[in-house]
Amino acid sequence: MASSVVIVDDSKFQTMQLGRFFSDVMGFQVLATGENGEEAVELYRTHKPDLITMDLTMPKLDGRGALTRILGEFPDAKVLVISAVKGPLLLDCLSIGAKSYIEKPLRFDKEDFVRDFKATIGEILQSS
Amino acid sequence: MDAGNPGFFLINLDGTVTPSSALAAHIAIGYGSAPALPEEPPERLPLARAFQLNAEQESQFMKWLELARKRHRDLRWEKLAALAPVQETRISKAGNAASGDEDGHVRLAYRKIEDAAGNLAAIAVFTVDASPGRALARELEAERLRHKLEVRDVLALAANPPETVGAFLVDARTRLDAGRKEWEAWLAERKVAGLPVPGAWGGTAEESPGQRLFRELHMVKGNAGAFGFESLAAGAQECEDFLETLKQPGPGSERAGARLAASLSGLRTQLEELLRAMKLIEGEGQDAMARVLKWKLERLVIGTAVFDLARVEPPLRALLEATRKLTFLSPAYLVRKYRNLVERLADNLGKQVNFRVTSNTGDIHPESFSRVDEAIVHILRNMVDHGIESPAEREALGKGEAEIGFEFVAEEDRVFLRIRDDGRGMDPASIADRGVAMGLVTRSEADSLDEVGKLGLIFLERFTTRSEADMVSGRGLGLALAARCVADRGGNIYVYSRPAEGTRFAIELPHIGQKRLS
Repeated sequence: MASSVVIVDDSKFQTMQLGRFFSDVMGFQVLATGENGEEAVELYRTHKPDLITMDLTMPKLDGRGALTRILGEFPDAKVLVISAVKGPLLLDCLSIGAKSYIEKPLRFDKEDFVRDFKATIGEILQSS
Repeated sequence: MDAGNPGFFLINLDGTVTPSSALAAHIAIGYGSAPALPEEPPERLPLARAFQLNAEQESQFMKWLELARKRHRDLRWEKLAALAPVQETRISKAGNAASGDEDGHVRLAYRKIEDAAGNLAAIAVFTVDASPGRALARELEAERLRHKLEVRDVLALAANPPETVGAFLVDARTRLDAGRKEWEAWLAERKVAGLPVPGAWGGTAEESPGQRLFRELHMVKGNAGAFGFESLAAGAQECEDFLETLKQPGPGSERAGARLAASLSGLRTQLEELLRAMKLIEGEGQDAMARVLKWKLERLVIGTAVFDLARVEPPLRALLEATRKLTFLSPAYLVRKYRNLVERLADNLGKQVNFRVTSNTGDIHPESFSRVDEAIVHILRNMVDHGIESPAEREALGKGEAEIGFEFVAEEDRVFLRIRDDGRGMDPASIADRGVAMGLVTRSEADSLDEVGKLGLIFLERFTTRSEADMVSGRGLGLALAARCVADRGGNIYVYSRPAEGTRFAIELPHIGQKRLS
C-alpha cells in the first residue's frame, strides 16, 4: 500500500509543488494539505498519515508549536520540517523530535536536491 | 581560531577542542575510516576560545553538539553537519600577523567519531583553506564592477551624439581645471601666510574658491549623470563630499584635504580616459571633418542673415532657407540627453515618468538652450526627485503615470523653454514659511510677496526642504545654480506651481541666431 502524507505550508504554491512531488515522484498518497499549524494538528488527528511535512514559519500556530502538539498526542508521528530557517529554531525542532529537515528553496529541478529529498524520506520511513 | 595548525582537530562532547598539535603524537588519520579516539588527549581548549564565539554562539554550538549526540544514529550525518553553527571561520596566518596579510578563511568539514558501543565520542574537524577561493571571488567582483562601469561608459559614449559628449567632456575638464587651479592657489596663499590649510570656505559675498570648486563639481556631476557616465558622477560626488567636510575645518581636515586632492586628480584622469575612449569609438578624423563641416555651415547661415530675403529671387531664397535649416535640429533630438537623464533618475528612485516634447517651430537652433544646459539639468533633477510622487502615491491620488513636459516656444526676439511636471507641486505659503524659518527672508518681506514671488524663494542659495544631501539633488544648491546660470545668459527664470497639480518652470532667453524667415 502506498505511503501517505499530509503537507502543511502557508504557501499554496509550495504545497502544490510538494504535493506533485510526493504523488508523482515518490508514489505517495497525498491525504490532505493545510496552511497553518492549527490545521497541521487537526489534519494529523484526522488522517494519521505515515508522514507529515511542515513549514516552520506559519500563521496561527507555528511549526514548532504544531510539532510539539502532534508529538505530545502521537509520540511516533513522523514529522519532516521543510523550511528556509536553519538556525536555533531548526536545532530546537530536531531536538524536540522532528525526524529530519529539508532546506528551502525547493529545487526540484536540481538532481542533488531531489536525491537528498528521496533519501531523507526513505530514512524517515525506515526509522521506528 | 587559534586551535593550532589548520588541517585537523577534535571537538569533544564536553565543549572543548583538542588541537591537532596535541593529537599528532597520538593518532594517524586515514580518510577511509573514522580515526580512533586517543585515550587521553593531553591538551584541551574551550570551544568558545578556539572558535572565538560569544556567549550566544557558544550556547548554540553546545545545543548542536547535544543534538548530534542524540540524533547521530537516525539523522544522516551530512544533515547534522550542515547544521553546525560554524561552517567557515577565520584563521590567523601564523607568523604573518605583522606582515599585514589578510586573515585566511577556512571551511570546516565535520566527521563523527563513534566509540566501540556506537555512541558519539567526538567530532573530527577538517579544515579546508578557502582563502584562494575568497580572494578569487573578491577579484572577480571587483573586475565585474569595473567592467560594468566601463560598459556604462561605452554605452554613454555611444548613446549620445559625439559632438555633445565631446563638448561635455571638454567643458567638464575646463571647469574642473579652473576650479582646481583657484582652489590650489588659495591653499598656497594660506600656506605662505601661515594660516591653517585648508581653512574655512564659503559664506563670503563674492564666490570663494571653495564655492567655485563646489559649483563646478556639482555641474560636472549633474551632466555626467545626464549622459550616463556613472563612475564620473560618483567621482565628482566624492570630491564634493570631501570639500563639504572641509567647509568647517576640524581635526581631520588635513587628511580630508589630501583625499580631496587625490580624488580631484582621479576625476581628471577619468575625464582624460573618457576623452581617449571617445576618440577610439568615434575616430579623430571624423571628429575633425564634422567640425569643418559645421564651421562651413555656420558661415553659410550667417550669409542668409545678410540678404534681405524678401528681395531675393524665389529659387535662391529656397536654397538659403534650406541651408539655414541644415543646422537646425528637431527638439526631440536636442532633448535626448534630458530624456536619458529623466529616465535614469526616475529608474533610480523607483518612479515612472513619461517625457513629452512639443515645439511651436518644428526644428530649432541647436544652441537655443544649450546655453542654459546647467539650469535644465538642475530643474529636471529637482522635478524627478522632489516633484514627482512615488507610483504608489500617484495611484492613491488617482493620478496615473507621471509626465514631464518640455515645450519650446520661439518668438520674434526671444525663446521660451517651459518644463512642467504633474507632480505634487508646491504651496507658496509653505515655501514662504520655510524661507522665513531658514532666515532667508523676514516675515514681513515674505508676507509682501505674491504667490509667484513666494515660489521664487526656491531660487535662493541654501533654500532646501531637506536636511540631508543626497545623490540626486544635492544640498539645495541646484535651483540657485539654475537661476544664476539663466541670469548669466541674460535670461529670466520663473516658477509657477499648484499643490497636487504640478510645477512649471519657464526659462526666457534672448533669441539666438537669425530671425525666422517666413
